[in-house]
Amino acid sequence: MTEDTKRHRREVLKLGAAAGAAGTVGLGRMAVGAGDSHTTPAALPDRDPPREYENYRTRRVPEDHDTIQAAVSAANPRDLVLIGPGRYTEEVRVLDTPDITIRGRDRNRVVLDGEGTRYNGIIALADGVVMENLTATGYAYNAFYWTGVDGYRGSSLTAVNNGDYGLYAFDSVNGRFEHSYAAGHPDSGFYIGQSNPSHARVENVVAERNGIGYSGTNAGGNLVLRDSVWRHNMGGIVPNTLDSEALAPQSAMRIENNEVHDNNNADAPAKAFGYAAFGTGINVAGGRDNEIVDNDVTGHINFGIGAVPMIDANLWRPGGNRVHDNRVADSGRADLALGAPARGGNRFANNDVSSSRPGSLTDDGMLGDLMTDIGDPWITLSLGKQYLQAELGEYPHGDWRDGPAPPTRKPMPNPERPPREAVGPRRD
Amino acid sequence: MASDTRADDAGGRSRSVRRLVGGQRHSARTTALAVVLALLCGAYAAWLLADFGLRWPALLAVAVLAGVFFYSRRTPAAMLASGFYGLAVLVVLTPIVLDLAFVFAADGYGITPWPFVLSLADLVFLGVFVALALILSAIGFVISRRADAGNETDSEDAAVPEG
Repeated sequence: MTEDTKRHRREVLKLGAAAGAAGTVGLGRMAVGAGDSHTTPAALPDRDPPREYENYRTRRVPEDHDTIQAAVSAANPRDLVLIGPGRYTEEVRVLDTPDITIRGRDRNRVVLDGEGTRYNGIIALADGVVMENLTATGYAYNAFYWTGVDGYRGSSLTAVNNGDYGLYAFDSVNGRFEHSYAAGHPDSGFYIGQSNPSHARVENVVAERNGIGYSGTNAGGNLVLRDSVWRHNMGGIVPNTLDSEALAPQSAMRIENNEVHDNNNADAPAKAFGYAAFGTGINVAGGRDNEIVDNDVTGHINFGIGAVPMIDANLWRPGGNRVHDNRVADSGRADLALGAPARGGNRFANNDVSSSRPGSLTDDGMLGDLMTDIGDPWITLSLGKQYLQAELGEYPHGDWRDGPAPPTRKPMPNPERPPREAVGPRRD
Repeated sequence: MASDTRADDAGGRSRSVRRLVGGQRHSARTTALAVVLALLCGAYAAWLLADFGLRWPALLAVAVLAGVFFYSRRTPAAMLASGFYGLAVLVVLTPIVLDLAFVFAADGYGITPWPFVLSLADLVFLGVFVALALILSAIGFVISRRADAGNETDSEDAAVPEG
């Protein structure tokens, strides 16, 4: 099966999932997702820093090779493809050479342009591929895409106005997205899917004007999302469970110390799934055993932090999620929310909030316990209605082709430095 | 003298309450039914209006008003029927309040609310909830009719001359 075919299949399945979600009337006939949570904890053990490669060759574009693809095709493992400023109208594929680094010499002036027709800016099917310090825009699918790999890193990347995802890792482990920016993607700016345990980290990134800032289907287990800004998307951070990808349910992700605000952007491009999350800050859709800690979440018309059931081929109820020490304010419906039916074991503690649905969600007593086990159908109704609206095809949203040009972002220091591993060795 | 005045006052209050509930006096069991139905309606209203921060006022106001209304019904069956009618009204209001909460909040978030609430999905939601309300109303209606039929039979029985 080709990547495009696989991708198309996933899209079709996702649409099917969306239709299922709309059909709440058929709930009685649905099986309840019974898969056990994966046992890997959410927090990611420290890693040593990535080690620099010693024996490598620098392949310069356009000095040594006319195109980036030509340099990649000629590269050996650990080589550095170093790209000079310019506009590159190509799609780059790294099929079987592991551990190469594709790096721009100037993040803001090395631009891969899909011109609205090419599929992916750079797609990596080999392990350990690093993409650094460049911009990709105008691709029909994704800006930077890793699939089926062990070891990946995207650093100082700018992904703007592409038809699907910005930085996208699917069925991949041991990775990192850092110091990157994603805007104007109908699905999500950053995505990690079908990966548990992920052994991955997303940090110091900014996502704005996307359908969803971060979306992660069935991804978790040593997966940390931290120190980042998620703003002016339709929905902020949405870990989620879908039957259309393996490893359901989503579980064990740690979301820590993020700034999540004003994710009510009706002009952002969005698919149905993104629109369903409209007006929510952090929204665990059918996920389990996640930790949401020490985040600042403000200005969402629906709710700030919540967990809701996800309806696909199965009904996936949120359970065992721990939401604590967050500051949530200025939410339309409620600062904290738990949608019914829930699976139980969700805990909301020490959060600085002024409202919740159900009402006693933050109480320590028996009523609080009961509420965290049951949830509130109002939350499910409000987002379910948005889902249905999107499925019926008449929801407010922008077009990814019409977004503003990529903004200038901080480049990586010293782009001539030697290439390094994707991620350092784990200390576990 | 003072105790007579207090007794008169208490009697007056009692009569006022009696008038409020249509002069009805019910057994403890029937009273409990009225209370349960009233709490049910109050809880639903509280759930409905929580987005507006009116959870407790809604619970209190609706439970008291509904309680008075239910207690004023002549029979337990009429009470139950009224309970179903009351819930039907609240169910119909559900999709409307769901959208109203969004509409009233939208301005504060710089959002034009109409594309979000005047959609086919809203119509579908309204239809589903109207259908649910119709079911509840139908149950109320059946209970009410059966109770009326029972009363008529009782009346006819009572009208049969002895001997």
